[in-house]
Amino acid sequence: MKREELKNMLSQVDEQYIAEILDAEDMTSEAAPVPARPKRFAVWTAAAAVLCICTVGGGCLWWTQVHRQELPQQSAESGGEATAMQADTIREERNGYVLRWELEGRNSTPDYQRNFNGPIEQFGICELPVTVENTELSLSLYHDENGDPVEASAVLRNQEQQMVFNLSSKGKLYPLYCEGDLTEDAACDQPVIHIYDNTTQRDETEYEYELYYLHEGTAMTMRTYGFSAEEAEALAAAFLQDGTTPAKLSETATNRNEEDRTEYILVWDEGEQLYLNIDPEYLTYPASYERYTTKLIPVGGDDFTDIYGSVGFDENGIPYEVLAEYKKDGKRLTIKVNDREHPMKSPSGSLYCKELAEEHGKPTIVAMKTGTNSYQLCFTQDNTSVLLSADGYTAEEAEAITVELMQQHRTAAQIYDDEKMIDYSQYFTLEQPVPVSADFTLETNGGVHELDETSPFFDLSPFGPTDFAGRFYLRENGSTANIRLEYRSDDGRSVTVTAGGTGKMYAHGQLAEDGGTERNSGRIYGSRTEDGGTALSFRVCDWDCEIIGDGMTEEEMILFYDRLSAYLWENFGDTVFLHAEDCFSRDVSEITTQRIDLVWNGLHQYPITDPGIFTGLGLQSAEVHCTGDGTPQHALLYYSTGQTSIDIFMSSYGEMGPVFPISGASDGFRRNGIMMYGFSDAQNPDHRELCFVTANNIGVHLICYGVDAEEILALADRLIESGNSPAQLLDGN
Amino acid sequence: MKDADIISLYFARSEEAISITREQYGRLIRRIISGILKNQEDTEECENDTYMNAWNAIPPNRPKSMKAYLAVIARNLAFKRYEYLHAEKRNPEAAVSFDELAECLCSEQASNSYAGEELREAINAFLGTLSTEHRRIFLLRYWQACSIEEIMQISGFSKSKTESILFRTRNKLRKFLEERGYMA
Repeated sequence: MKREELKNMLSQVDEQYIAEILDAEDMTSEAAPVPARPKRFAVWTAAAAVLCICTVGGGCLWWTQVHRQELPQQSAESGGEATAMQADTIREERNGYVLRWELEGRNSTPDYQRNFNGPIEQFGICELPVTVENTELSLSLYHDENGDPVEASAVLRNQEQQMVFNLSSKGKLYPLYCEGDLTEDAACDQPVIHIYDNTTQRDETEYEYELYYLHEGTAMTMRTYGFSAEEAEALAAAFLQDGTTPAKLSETATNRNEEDRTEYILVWDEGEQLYLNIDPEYLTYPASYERYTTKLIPVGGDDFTDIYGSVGFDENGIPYEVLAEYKKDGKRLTIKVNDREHPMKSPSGSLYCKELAEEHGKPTIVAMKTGTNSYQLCFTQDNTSVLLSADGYTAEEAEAITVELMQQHRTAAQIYDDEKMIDYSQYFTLEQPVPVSADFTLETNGGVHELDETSPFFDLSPFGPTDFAGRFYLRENGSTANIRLEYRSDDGRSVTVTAGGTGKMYAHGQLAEDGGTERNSGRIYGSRTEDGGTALSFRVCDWDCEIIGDGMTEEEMILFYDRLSAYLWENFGDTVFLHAEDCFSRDVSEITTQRIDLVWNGLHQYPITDPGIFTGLGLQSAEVHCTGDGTPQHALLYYSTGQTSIDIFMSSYGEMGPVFPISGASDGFRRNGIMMYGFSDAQNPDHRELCFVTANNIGVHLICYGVDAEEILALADRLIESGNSPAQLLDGN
Repeated sequence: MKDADIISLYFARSEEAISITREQYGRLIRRIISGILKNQEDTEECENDTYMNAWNAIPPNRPKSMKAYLAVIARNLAFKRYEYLHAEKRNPEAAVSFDELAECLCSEQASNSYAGEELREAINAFLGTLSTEHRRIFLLRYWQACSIEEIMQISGFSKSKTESILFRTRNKLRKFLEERGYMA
């Protein structure tokens, strides 16, 4: 089934089913707000999951008694008695069927959290009763205001199975909403494990259970996924051996962690300048990038929703830098791994990670607080530098993540290799050979600009410098219309790249509307040519591109595609081939009411002569307005040729075009690195306006009549290039 | 006003039909469109197009349920608009919800193309096999492009349970389509 068919399929759902979901929603509100996420993600997320599942879960309930341990009478101090009383009350309210059980104490939120990650043995649970392969345990301990561990959250997972384990002492429970009558259990003289079957479909492995347990003031909830009921029960029993409490887990984990801490040194740099210096060479721009939307570096234990990553290659195509950024719910992790030997240092230049490591014979982490809940940490390990920025994390969490990175001990090249297990053949699945006899036609009338070895595209070549030929095809106004690049190697292999914004670049027809394979946030369409070569068609920004390879492997073609697409993204983004008319899509009538007449803000007006910004246009009037102390504030220039006219307003304030705020406008477009906002008048097609703030903070507003959109953009380019400001215009006169 | 009365206004070509439709179903339509487009201006434009399409389609159409009929129009217009506007810069939820389904179901190996009627029967037959609860969650996610959080609010389920249901339903759909030869 093709993607397009899938789309069509979903568009044809019967109305009766649509009515079902409409009935299910509360349509009285415009949009449902996203529920706030509790701060302590590990424990409270699990608790919230327990809460939701228990509330609405339709699974059957059964309980089983598993331990021989005696459950002493619950005391008021431990919370047990209160629990029973509360349970009774609520049971009456709900006629004995659904029990809402919420213990006191949850407001005494823990003061801080420490995280530990490592083998299960680290936590005193040496043998699990079930086989869980390739698994590590993440444990978070929460402490009260006295520093006593009161809560613990553990996550055990591999690709197919998961167990979330929460433990609370001192009578504290997360708010639990359970089904069934618990009062009999509270009166029972043995600890009881309740198992809730949340499995909605009994497939071979997909069992989902929730267990709940209370013993001597210690409450436990556990959620398993992928385990059978017996396994889930056995896991719960294993974790509860010897009356596990947060304090006991903390003791084991802390002891273990103390051993780990001897393996590295953490140095806090408390300099006033809150940033970490990195050797300038470290920031050398890679020759090319591959972009990823997968989690390149698995750290942090969070299920991030916003993931961005890239791998940087040097001029020889060797990966040496990995940048990964993960975001979720206000948290952000940025990790940079660089294989080049550029040790990081503190602002004072005195704390070289590597030097410290050599001095102490141990790896050194240099840490710095950069804001509330924001930290930067870095270390150098075997010539690989790692820099971590953690926003929304505690110092302990940031340290734990850094240690995790250190334990991974992977170079950028290794990270890349791990991610590189790609079946390249998936990109070349079209069965019909594509004829390559037809050459494409470039629709240009502005001439051709030959490229040489200094051209920016040169670096894309996997071949030698002398095997490159390329040319730009230009429009009448000199801007780029299309490009054609050819690379040839000594062994007869070649790659030809064509790219352009006209949509008519293809020897092989237009881009297909469906099919293709997703890569680098876009779709590529692979085909084999009739003479045995390979071809890739794709669109980057507004560029329609095609790569035709002769003698190239599929992997090489994909690599070439990655480099070209990354290059185009990095260097052109959305700046090139934006159709000029599209830049003037907003109606100018929307903004006229916001206009502020700034002309009379100045106390003095100085007429100036033609500043020579636009040759060939007649300057009708020009003046600069200054404040009382003579500071030039605004410049007004008026050009006209009779049929056409251009008013130019320039403001030294920068925050606006002189007539309305730019910053509040939306739907702008970026051109040559500058955000611009174009407006046209629906009633008068000849009327167009353009606003922008230059890199020098000069606000510019062009009001044009009878000037083509493309010409206005070209005039703006020239105006920016001239670098003129009101002050310069005045000085020039 | 009842649906039948509103439809009568459409048949009588009374422009009052539009204002009543807006009054009665405007929130629903905006809710569906804004869930996909996440932009007020686009939402307003799409909402107006929805009324226009309804005006043009009734008569001859005589929908059984105005609510569902308008929702279908609004949803399809929103997706059409979304594709036009966001070739690259997508609304993450709409893109994500569709991508996760496409990931499971789209196959480049498949060489057959299927007619609209055939697909319509297939998807509706599949939906008929689901429990009401699972069908609602599936459609909220993949028909209406709701976020997981929004579905959690509507259904009252936990995140993991919601995701678990979606995962299983996707697999069921894939199996269903495979058994009927829709997928290679």
